Amino acid sequence: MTFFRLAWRNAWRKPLRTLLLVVCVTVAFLIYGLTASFLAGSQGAAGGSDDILGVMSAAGRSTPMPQAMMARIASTPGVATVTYTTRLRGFVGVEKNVVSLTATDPAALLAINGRELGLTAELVGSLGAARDRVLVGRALADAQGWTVGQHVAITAFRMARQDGGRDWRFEIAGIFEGGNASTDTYFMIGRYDYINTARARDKDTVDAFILRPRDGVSTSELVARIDAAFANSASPTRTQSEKQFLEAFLRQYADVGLIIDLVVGASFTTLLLIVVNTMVFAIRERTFEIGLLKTLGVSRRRILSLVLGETLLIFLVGGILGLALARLGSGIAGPTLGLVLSLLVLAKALALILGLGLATGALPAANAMRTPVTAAFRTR
Amino acid sequence: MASLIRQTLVMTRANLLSLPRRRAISLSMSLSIALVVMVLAGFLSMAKGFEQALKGTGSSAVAVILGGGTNQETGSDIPPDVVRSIAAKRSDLGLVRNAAGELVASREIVVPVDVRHPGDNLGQTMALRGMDLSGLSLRDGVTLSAGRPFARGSREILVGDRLAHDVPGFGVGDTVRLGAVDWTVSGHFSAGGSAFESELWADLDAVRAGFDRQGEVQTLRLRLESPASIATLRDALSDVTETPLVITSETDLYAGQSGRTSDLIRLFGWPLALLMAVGAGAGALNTMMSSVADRASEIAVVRTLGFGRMAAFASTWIEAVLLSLAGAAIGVAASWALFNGWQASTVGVNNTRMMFQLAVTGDVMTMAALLGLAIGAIGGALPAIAATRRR
Repeated sequence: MTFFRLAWRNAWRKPLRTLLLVVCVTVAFLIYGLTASFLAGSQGAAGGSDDILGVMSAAGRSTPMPQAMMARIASTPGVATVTYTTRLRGFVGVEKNVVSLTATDPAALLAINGRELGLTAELVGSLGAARDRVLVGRALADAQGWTVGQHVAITAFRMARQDGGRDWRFEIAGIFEGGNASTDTYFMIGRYDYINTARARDKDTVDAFILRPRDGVSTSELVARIDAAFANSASPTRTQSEKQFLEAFLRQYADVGLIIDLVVGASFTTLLLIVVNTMVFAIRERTFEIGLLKTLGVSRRRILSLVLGETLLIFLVGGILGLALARLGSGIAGPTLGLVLSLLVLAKALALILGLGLATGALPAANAMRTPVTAAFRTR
Repeated sequence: MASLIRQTLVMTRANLLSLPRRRAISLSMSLSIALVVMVLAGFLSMAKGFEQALKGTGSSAVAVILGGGTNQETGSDIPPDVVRSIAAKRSDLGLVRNAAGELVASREIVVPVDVRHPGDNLGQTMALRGMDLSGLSLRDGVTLSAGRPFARGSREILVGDRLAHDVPGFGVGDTVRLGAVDWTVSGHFSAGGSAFESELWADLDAVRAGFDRQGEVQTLRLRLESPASIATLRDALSDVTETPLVITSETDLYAGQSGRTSDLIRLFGWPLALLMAVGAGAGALNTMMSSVADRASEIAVVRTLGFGRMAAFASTWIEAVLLSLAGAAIGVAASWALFNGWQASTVGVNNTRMMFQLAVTGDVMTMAALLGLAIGAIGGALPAIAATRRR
């Protein structure tokens, strides 16, 4: 009987017990996989870029700035391209169904953020035909069931039209896919000139400028330079990277990171408690056999690896099963949750599987190693 | 029957007395159940606290009029002529009038403002509410806890107690920069922990001027003669304008806002707790299996002595339930000690920060404890059946 076969046979001597342990491990890693992919997904800040800077009013997101500031930003040394955006938040049909539209100069957006958003020259070109055309993100289009060519009406929360109404009508010119799975595509892109002409107030103002620095320019220096340029103007600015902005924005909703750490911590503690104790119990049952192996001259190290191998096996089977289920779950969770099980998450999970497996096996293995042969035979 | 009960009692007692032999594994079962109970209690108390903060907000004797077909303050817009024509109505509106025969009314707007502290990246977005001076008298259950109310037309703010307590820089007399101008904190108010306490209150005209909202009115608050007279008001205003008006009581306005967020928290918490329960259930099953294995010879002896299958089943199952009961009790006690009153905040309906306290109430504790018990009851049943098969 080979060594591996022995470990395998040991693991399955009580199939139900081993199966239950595998279930425990599976559940813990399923929870880990799901929560980690939530953080890595489009709801987390992982999709934000460090290279793209946003300039907002220092007074807050909701305070508009004059569009004329763009010339001064564009001429700041180190800025490659810059454009302006205004957000139109509203709902479609029922008030719970919130959507948002980013009104901008699409050609400039393509140059700055095209790769990240999955914009192509073709898509942007299709906006040219009429001013009320919009591009819709894949996640939003799927959630609403929209198709290209459809006309949609958004009722704005705040932005009123000149005629007093709040209903804005758009025609969908195309759908953009997002650069990768963790890109947030739950919004649409429209033309600033259309919104700006038709709105009742705040004309010629924008909510934010977005820019891409020149290659090799330090973003932190550029941030300081832009904010210093407007420090004593009528509208002081606040510049930060897309990623910083998203992180701070998410923290307002809840300290998501802390909650997830606590839940994952609790589930791993539960798992460790159960597995360690069960394994200690399982090994104690085998004291006699281990004594026998020792008498037969099997080295202490082999006995150690026998027990460690068994727990590791349980962790590997359970952990991989859990991650597979998490992958499946993130696939069916739908675009609104936007779960992404990234390679980094997988790598971390694998490290956890190995680490926890070894840590869990250590106590029972040490017990087995320490048992003197005479004591072992007395158990029979 | 009596002998069955006696047999069960004897065997249960023997089981419990043999517990020290399986101390570690039994403890791990109880503790894992306690952790599951705590996770569920944590999420449920969060949802509960959020609901409590909103449900305790407002008064049913105050009517709120929203314009533009919306039922939220954001996005509501009442044209100035509508406000004037309501004020000019002399017929019976079911509303309280002052000595001069004018309606007790407050025109209000809510502006989201960013409050930033040195070193903090993006400030927190808070709700700044501009109101007429009569707005203060329209808030039932609100008392001034420090300082004095804002003065008419000046840039002064009243700060909710909870906000003042949580966020530094809002002491009475402090200067805060909101938007492009500085505001002075004139006082604090207490509203019994309700959502009002997360707001900043200021004079309507000062807010309009500071944020370029000249002439805007989002909501109109009016004092009702009695909660029932809201129907009279609805009838009287049905033909006042072509703009669709939503007339609701203040209580309903806030209670309606709690549903979505608290549902979302529960939607997040339940699956997580249930998943963990599956894991802990597997652990419970294992623990009880080892308990049965540990007592294999004892069970065989008493069965030979003539003890029934039922007694063997009941004694093992009772042991499992007692262990999970202990776990649930630890979990409930720990979550009450840790979570109850914990300050939390999230983004409320005006897209502004809303603070609330986690509330570990009776039904939260019951629900979490029941889940813990269910783990033990279900996880203990199978090993208990196994115990009856022992010979």
